[in-house]
Amino acid sequence: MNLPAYLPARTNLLRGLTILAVVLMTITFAMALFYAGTDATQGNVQRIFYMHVGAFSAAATAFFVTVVAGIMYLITRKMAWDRVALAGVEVGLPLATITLVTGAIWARPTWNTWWTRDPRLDAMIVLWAIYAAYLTLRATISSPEQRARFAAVYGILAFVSVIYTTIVIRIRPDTLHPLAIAPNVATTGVGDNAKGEFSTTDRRITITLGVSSISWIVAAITLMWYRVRIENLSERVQALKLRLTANE
Amino acid sequence: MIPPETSNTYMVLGYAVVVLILFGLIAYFANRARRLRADLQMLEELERDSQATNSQKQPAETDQEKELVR
Repeated sequence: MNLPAYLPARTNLLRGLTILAVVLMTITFAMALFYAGTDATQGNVQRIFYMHVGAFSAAATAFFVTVVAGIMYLITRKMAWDRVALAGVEVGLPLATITLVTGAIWARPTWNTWWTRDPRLDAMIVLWAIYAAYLTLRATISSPEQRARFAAVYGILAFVSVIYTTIVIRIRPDTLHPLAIAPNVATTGVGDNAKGEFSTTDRRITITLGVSSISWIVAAITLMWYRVRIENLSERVQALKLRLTANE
Repeated sequence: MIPPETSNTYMVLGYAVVVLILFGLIAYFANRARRLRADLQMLEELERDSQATNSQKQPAETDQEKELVR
């Protein structure tokens, strides 16, 4: 079995990335809570926006990594890519959970409900279920090669749900979900039904959102890297167990 | 307009969920890595022990073979 041997430079790079992620996340929390202005209508609950959008950006990035790793696996048939694809989903799913739960919490005071039937909300819950099913699919296939092949194809197809969830608020005028970054709401008619909108003209809001998205993406990449290492460690343990059993 | 107390309560709830899920994920990864490292260490010790036992057995077998030849 081809077991990974880590170069010290690579470990140092991961350490550096970890420090960067911690620093950026600390800055994000500080900016979201103290730097960004308080919304005149919604008050402090609007600050959830920076975590809600940031977590979704990071989840989408993690799921995109699964797509790239899936394609690479299908081309090279190297199991290392399968481990990267799995890391993408295992990190992306908790981040999608953050998006869902913070959205529900934000909806309660602004929409007067935790959850409602809405194109964006429906798309997001379907996305979550699709990626949860990815993990179930993997658990049901015992052959490593077959599992990797199925998971690669599934991971690539599942990304359609991420694209749809991202664009649905721009193509469905009946959504309640506000468009934070809208091209021109007044002329397109999209977002007419939206509730809980807030002004994004303040530069502090856009700066905080930018920093937040970058921080969440860096944190997701760091977590994925650690997840890949755990999977590598698990493979080493399994290989050693097999060798010891064979020697007995 | 949302009353400030309500707004603050839901903001705190939202941030608490973010921290809880993030730290939960980190703790899960850390715990899994720690357990795997412990397993790996134990298995490597077992492998070393079995290799040492095999190398100790080897000369005895050779002596036995010598005796059989004699």
